[in-house]
Amino acid sequence: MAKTTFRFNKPIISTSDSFIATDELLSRLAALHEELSTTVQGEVELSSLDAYRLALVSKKLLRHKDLGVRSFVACCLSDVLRLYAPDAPYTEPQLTDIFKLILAQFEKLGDPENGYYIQQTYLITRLLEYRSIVLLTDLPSSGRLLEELFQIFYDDTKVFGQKLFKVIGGILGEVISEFDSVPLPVLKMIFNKFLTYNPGKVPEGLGVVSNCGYEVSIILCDSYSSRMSRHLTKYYSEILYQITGENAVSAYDSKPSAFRTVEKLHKLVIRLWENVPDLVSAVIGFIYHELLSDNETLRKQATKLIGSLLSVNSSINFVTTHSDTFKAWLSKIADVSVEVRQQWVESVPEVLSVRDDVSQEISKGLTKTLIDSEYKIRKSSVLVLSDVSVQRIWMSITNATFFSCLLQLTREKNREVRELCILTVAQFYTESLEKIARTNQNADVWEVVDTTPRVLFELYYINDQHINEQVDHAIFKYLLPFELDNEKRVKKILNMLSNFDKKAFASFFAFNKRQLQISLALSKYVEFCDELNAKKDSEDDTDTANRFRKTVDWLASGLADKQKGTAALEVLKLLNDKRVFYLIKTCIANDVPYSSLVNSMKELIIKIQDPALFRKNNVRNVSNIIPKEIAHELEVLLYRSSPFIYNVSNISVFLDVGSHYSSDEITLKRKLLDNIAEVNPSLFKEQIKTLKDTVEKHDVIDSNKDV
Amino acid sequence: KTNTIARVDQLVLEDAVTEREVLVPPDLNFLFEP
Repeated sequence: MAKTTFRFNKPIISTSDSFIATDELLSRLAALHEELSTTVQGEVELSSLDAYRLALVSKKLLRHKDLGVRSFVACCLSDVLRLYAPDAPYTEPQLTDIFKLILAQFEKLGDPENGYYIQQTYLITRLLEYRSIVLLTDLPSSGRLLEELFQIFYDDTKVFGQKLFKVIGGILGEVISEFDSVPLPVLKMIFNKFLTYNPGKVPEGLGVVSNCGYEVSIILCDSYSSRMSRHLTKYYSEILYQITGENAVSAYDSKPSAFRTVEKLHKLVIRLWENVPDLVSAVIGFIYHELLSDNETLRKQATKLIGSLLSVNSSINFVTTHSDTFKAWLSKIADVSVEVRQQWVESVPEVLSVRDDVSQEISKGLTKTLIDSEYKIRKSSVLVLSDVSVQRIWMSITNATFFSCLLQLTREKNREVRELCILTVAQFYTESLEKIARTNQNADVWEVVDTTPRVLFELYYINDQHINEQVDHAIFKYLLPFELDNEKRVKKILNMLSNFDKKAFASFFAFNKRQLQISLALSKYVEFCDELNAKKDSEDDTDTANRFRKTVDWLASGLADKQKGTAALEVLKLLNDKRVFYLIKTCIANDVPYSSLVNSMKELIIKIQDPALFRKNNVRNVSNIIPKEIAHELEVLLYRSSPFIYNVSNISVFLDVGSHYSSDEITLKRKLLDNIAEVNPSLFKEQIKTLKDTVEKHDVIDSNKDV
Repeated sequence: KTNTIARVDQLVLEDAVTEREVLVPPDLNFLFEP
């Protein structure tokens, strides 16, 4: 086939003999570009192009002051490269100059209003389409040019059109695909973008502005994953070696910057896992070895990383894809370092909250960390129940042993763990009753969870005032919260007692017997306050004053902080507020209806913390106690001295043994009635008519039998 | 390899009172003494 001859034949270099005005030059270059762009490779007689091939690399054109001239020259050069391929039409120095021009044009793509955007778009598209851009990689200065190329597109001050992202990604991808070794600064630009830009973290309601560098990084990792994997491996290993390679243990720990660097590497891994998870395979080996490192801090950071990877949304399942690393992570529950074990536990709530395929492995681990030799880890293990929803806990932890251990820790010697555990099991029990249906699958766990009230009541046998106070709180805040409906309230009481053994019943009955005694003491306290406040003199050696002090001591002796209790009672006397005293007496009255008791207590606790109360009664805050503390001490005393359980409002329900109650419930009711008859029979006086009706009904039934 | 698991019986508190003694407060006789 005969090749065509290039038709354009006008000079494009201005000389002293033949000056070409800029406008004319632009016109000629545009025409040259037009013909070059439509010329098919292999179909043109290249010799007819030689003059322009040489002219286009003239310094006069490459460095022409007019942007348009330079833009058109760049476009023409891109086509010359295409038409002469695979032969090299230029020397290395010439090619270097050409690429400097090209990079300058790429820069202009970040300024869409520059006037020659169309030409610049043509340029980058052609360079990608025919892979001419990869010629850059053969130049002696290719490393520097590569950096400059990436700097252009990763410059956030530039605004590249979204339609160009794919082309830009392709340009960069083709280039780095030709590099066996990409300069570290380039890799930093690529991977750091995952750290500095996260469209998923933009506050709700705000629009997400596309970021060229970020989009390009995604394209590179997605479309050139094979090559990028090798680059990532190099990147990760070089950075890791810089901070751990020499004197790893001591050097690493003494450099906060090293810690932060690893933190950034791990953050990168997380972001890659979210966006291009395949790439993580390139560094999973490093992470695995970090988990097993001799360095404690590295192990801790790696443990945290895996917890995060297990928690974030990804298109790949980490557990099945990287099972060895997952198993290494699970083994951290037995790491020699407390910090590492702690980190493992702290990772659990998030993992359990988002996935259920690793529940068994994690619950086994938790069962062990729950009885870790270090109290902080035990505490964190208990905290998992606070950080994960009740429903999720029941789905995830199906091992009854875990809950057995948990209940045992309510007796924990360490106060921090114990207090957290008591609170947690009370909350968990209450929420479970409300939200978790009983099934064959969870029967084993329920069998243990149902014993929670019994376990709590048996804590009284330790005979520790702090524990007693906390148990009181757990009972009245969680097991028997304020409930105004008589039927529901009694139902809660019966349910609480349903798993009691002899020991728990003993403390339960003792609690209710003591209620009367504390009620008496508190009522006497109020009486003494009235008497002493009514006196004008300030004698302290009267009989009333002595009994007052003894009563205060008696009441305070059962509190966790005896001094605070004493101070609270003394301040209440100084306040001498009629409403306060009235409310106290109402709460502890033997015949107070439940609703009155609850309302009075609520009002009282609020009132006692009202600063106006102190001002009104001209009492300054005592330095060793504040209103909030007074309220706390009073609250404990009221829990113990008020008839919350053996309340007149409950008696009629206790007496109801109709057919809608189960036999177990009826048995419990009778047990309660027997105890009430023993310790506080006066509660029945309001029920005479009910009892009379019951007796008559019984007689009628017997009469019918006789007939 | 370090054993990181504790024995539960070493972690917990034992009972200090019996069923007859639990939650039994001191007497209030001083309130009624002449």
